[in-house]
Amino acid sequence: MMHKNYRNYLCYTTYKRRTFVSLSDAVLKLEIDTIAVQVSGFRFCAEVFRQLLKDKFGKLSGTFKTYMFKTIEKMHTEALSTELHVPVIKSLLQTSLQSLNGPNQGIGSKVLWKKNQESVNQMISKTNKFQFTQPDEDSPLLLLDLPKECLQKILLHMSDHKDILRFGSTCSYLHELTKDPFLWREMCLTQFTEKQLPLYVFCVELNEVDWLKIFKTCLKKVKVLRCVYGNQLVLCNNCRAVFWKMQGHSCINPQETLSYTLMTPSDFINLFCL
Amino acid sequence: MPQIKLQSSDGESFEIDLEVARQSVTIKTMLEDLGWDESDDDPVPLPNVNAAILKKVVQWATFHKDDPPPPEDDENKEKRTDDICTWDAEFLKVDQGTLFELILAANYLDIKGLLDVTCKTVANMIKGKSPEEIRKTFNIKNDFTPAEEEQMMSCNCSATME
Repeated sequence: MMHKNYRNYLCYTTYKRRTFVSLSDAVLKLEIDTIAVQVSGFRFCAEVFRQLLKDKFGKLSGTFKTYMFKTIEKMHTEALSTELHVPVIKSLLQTSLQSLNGPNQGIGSKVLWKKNQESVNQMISKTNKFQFTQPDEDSPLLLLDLPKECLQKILLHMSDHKDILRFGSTCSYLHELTKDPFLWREMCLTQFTEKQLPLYVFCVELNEVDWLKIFKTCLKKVKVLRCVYGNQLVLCNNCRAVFWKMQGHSCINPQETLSYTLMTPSDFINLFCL
Repeated sequence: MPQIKLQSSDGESFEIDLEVARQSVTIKTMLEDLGWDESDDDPVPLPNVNAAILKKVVQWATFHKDDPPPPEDDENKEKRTDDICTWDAEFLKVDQGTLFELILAANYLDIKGLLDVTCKTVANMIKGKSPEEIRKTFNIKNDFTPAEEEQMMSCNCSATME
């Protein structure tokens, strides 16, 4: 298995805040192009690219931009063939287009610039034409044929309340299911800290609480919800290496117990002088 | 390694390692209740799983036989839907019918890991889609009256949840 040979990690042995490696070298070393097309790493990589495109586009090197657009092309192909993350790639392409048509236009090779614009435009038109595969009319088993407990299980895995609400607004049966207080209790407990939740919810019986209402109230206060990724970059607390959580790394302090800090996409970007 | 025979609903027998089969809590309990021992040659009947699906389940359980046991209590755990390993992602590149059959089988056989990863896959198919796209993807019929639909939309939006 892949995580046994620890190929892709970045040594970050300086204790200062920044690496001495360029962004282009770092993404090559971390094999972002491979991780980005996996289900687990797709959203994290997309978010790294989105932030770079939006805020740092004028500061990226030509080499990096070529790598980034190549990777986005791979992600696009993967998204359309697996039919997963299509909304993510759609918004990433829109950001790409905005940056390519933005104020930094004169910088770098004109040929390259045009090439990137063309490829992004092509991807956008492909995505617009794209249709999700529909199940056969005579398919023996449809989603709604699953027992209630399985549908509830699927709902419990959803981390974004907007997905739950949109799912619930497709038909009356699912609408009923998405009102399940247990589901919203789980949402509250995973998305908010104990301090953010009103104190009384811990003092009364669980079923006496309107958890959906609490979720809505807390959301208004907190505004931004925690974003959790399947695979993401982490920083080893023992050797300061940057590596993918699901892939691991060979630590220079192997006797220490594994301990790492999660990095957000912007934490990663901030390692570099851009 | 002791072997055990499983029999699918359509009568096909599968001989697999006991360790692999014991990932299913249903089979594990059944064997304990039956007082099964290695000399037993009778196949364990699984009337709710057909051969095609049982084959997939066995394939999954064989690959995951050395996984650490899933944590008993996963309350307050962060919800993630895309922490699916590459092998599982490839394994689950199947049509919707097969995916749902796998969910049913995992539920009946009580294999937590397989149930989790299949449910996550469905959750990923829902992620980010509009209600209309979700309906199309899963062949769901919109049975709301226009008034009900409008009320629901305003209800969802008023809570700044959209």
